[in-house]
Amino acid sequence: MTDSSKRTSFQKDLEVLEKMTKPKDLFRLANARRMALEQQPRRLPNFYWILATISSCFFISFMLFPIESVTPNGVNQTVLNVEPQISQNQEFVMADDTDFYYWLDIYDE
Amino acid sequence: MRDLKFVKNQPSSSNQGNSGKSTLSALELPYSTLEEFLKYIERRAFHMAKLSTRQIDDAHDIVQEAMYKLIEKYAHKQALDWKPLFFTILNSKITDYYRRNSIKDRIFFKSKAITTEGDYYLDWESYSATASGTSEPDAQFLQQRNIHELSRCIEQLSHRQKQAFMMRCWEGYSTQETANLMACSEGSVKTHYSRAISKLKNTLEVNND
Repeated sequence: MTDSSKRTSFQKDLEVLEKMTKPKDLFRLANARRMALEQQPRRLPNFYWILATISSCFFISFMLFPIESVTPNGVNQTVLNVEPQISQNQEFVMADDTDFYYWLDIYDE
Repeated sequence: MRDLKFVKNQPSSSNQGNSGKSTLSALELPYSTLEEFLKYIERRAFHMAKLSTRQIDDAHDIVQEAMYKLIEKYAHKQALDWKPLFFTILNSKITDYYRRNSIKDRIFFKSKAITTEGDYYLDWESYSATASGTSEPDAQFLQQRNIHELSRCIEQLSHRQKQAFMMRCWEGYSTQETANLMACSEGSVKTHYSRAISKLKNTLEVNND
């Protein structure tokens, strides 16, 4: 069988396939056509729902369990970063409010 | 609903090819409004999408998206332009589908649809309407088997081979028109098409033996 006759036979088979479209699919196609002509908002494909669900799960888990960086020694880096700030603040308060502790010295005496 | 009436006898800007169906004038077209055009094209588009995706629901989604996009973006175009535009959109939607699926496969697990032996699109019910009253059940049975085997073989082609085969063989587009639709060179179309034809021929011959 030559290529052109093969091609014609393929074409015929595909045309029969087209004609034999099931009524259920014809109904769905008619509905899709109507929606497209009216430009009604479309239903999002499942893929986008899956993507949205995964990203919201990541977001929620990030909010509930914030990432804590740990040094190779097992020390929490977040704590290390916070500590100097606290000590600096304490020194500042101590130096500034010396009068406040005066009553303590009297009491001790 | 938008005013979709097509004004006849307007020259088309994209009537470039001199072969095949592109030489049709607006008056010879079997449709004059967008609704008629969609009615004319929807079945074929559905089967093309189904052969590409192997999933009926996904095929419906793709066809609907292509219809929606055509009307949203190109309703103002002339009737001669609708068909190539529609197939360009359909092809890009099918390509998007492949991309999405490959991402899904990477994230989750390999979820490729497997067409089983019993997965006949044309079952006996589809044929019963035409078979009743005719005296050729054997011929119809053979035709159904041929169509089923052809569908299965087309499903096994690569995406680009499928596109080239369906545009050239089913739609009757020229190599140049197919190249424009597939956004590639004419040489690539020729290669994809000839490989598709030889694969189909070989597979069908093996099956028949």
